[in-house]
Amino acid sequence: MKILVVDDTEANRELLGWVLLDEGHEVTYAGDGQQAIDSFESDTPDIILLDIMMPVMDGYEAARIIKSKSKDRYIPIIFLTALTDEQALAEGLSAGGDDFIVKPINEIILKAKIKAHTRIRELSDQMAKNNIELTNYKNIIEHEHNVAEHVFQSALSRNQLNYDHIEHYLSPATTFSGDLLLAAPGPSGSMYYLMADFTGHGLPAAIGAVPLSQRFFELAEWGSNIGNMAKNINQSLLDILPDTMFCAATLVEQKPNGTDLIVWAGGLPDAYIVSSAGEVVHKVRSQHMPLGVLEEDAFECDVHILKAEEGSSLLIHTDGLIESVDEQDTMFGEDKLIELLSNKEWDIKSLISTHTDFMGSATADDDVTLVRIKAQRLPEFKQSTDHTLKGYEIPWKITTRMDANALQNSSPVDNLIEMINGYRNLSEHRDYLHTVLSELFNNALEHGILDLDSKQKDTEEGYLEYYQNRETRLNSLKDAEISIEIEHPLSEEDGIKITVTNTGPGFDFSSIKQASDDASYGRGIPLITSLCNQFEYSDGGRRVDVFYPLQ
Amino acid sequence: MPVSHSFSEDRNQLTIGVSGKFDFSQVKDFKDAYSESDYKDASYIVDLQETEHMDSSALGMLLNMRKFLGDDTEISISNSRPQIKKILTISRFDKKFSID
Repeated sequence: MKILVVDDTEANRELLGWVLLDEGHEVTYAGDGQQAIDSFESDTPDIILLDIMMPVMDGYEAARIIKSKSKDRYIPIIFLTALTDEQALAEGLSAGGDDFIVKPINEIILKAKIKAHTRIRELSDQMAKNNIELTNYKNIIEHEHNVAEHVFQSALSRNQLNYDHIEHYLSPATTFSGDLLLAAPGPSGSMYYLMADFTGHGLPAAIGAVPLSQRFFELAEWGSNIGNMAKNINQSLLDILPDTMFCAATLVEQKPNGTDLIVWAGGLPDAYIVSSAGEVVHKVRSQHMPLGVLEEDAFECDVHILKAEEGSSLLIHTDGLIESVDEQDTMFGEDKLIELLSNKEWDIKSLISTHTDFMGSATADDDVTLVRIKAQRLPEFKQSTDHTLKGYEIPWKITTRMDANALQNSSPVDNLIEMINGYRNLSEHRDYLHTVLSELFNNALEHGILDLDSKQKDTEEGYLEYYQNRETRLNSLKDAEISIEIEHPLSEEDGIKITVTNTGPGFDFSSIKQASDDASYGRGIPLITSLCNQFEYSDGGRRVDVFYPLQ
Repeated sequence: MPVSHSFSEDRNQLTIGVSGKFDFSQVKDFKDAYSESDYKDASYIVDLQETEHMDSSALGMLLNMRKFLGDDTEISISNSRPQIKKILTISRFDKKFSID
């Protein structure tokens, strides 16, 4: 320990110094209060022994100044005083002294007191060190939370809850929540919803929300059915979550008419269909284990298929609401919720304000999440048309020439559609182009090269046989080629030119024309003529040209 | 499995779903899905919710299904996307199936 000895009498300083040096301490000296402050600042002692009566500045004043300057560090100050002087003793302690030693100095007492204060000093050092570490940890955690918060918010940026037919309440977004409510329109005009409650709360519970929401938005955009959606999300969660973590969830698809509802329910409290008169006309029971528990082969995709009256609502909630407990330990309960719904004017806001009043000053220990989906015709959702390229477009052409080997081992139509799709946003045309290209390519392959007869397709057995023949003949094919050319010229009429040629012996194009409404073959040509505005076979059936308009 | 099928609880209704591409590559699975059923009174739903593309071979398969089950059997084609619905309409399938 570094000890500062302050006394205006040199003999006293030497006596004290001699004892302390003997104990192995480092000692510095000061002759008055002012010198003591200077030495405190330059030598940073661990303990100070301070006389009271001194010239220039007395010990009280020095103690006050030193204590005020060492706020965040604990430096024990021990006054040196006469036993009889009680007044001085009291004043010393109020000036910030921590202890006193009676003059004349008793060596044993001095040593004991120094030892005691050394221990306190060490403890206080350790505490100061711990405090700094804690502060650092706190800063790191705050930073990590900010990063996580950003990821979390970005993952939810595709969430579309702002429609007239949706009312909802979510726990405040600034703290991480184990609850999640997602909504997104699908390609056929229906709307998908997912309400989820992860085991636990805070950051660990929120982590699962990221993969869950990514998967949900992908599947909604693709137009998955609800059972499959549940199955896919289950697998994603199973792959990444630890065994102790899972996710109670309800998934809903609301059809464009707004009243047909398809529900997969696993582990959340009953959802209700509430009539416009405020009556709970149907309880949607959970019928499955939560997501993230069962392996793929044990997972069940069964759904409830419900028909809601126009004007009624589907109410889904997590257990946070009905299981909350007020100060008197009374549970909110399901009955109270159902009673509130019997007031025809109920809305999510009124439910939440009743809940807030109920809770009073009690703190909620679970997240509260609610959604009301009204059974009314859904609005038309615009398909996203974010053109990746704007302004002047370049003309382009894709050409492929496939020999027998390539024909046997590829799916050229899928590949070509992928390529076209990457160039310009043709999403609304993609499926039609896929159909047109399939027809043209299959005609070239099946009739131009493999010489299959469509009439064979007219009976059910023949239909199967036709495609078996296709495979057999294709597998033994040698020396044949099909070329496909897809061009987007910058002509006045915006559209795609497609040319398919083959090196076969040629075929009679009229033979694949539709025979009658009932025939199972000859369906392709009417499709092409409806979708394209030019369509011509030439070169004895070896070449076909079409123009697909993009307007 | 691109082609799936499931009975309703009362076994009066068979739903056949086709996921992704609906073309000749499903010819056998699709035929098996409706012809295995020995419930002559059942009604049928072809659920095209997850069908992304279809071509004329799929149309032929649907017509074969109609022939196999007879004109009196109820077959509806449901949940198709706008693009698929247009293909069905072009081919006047509304005459033979109820499309919703």
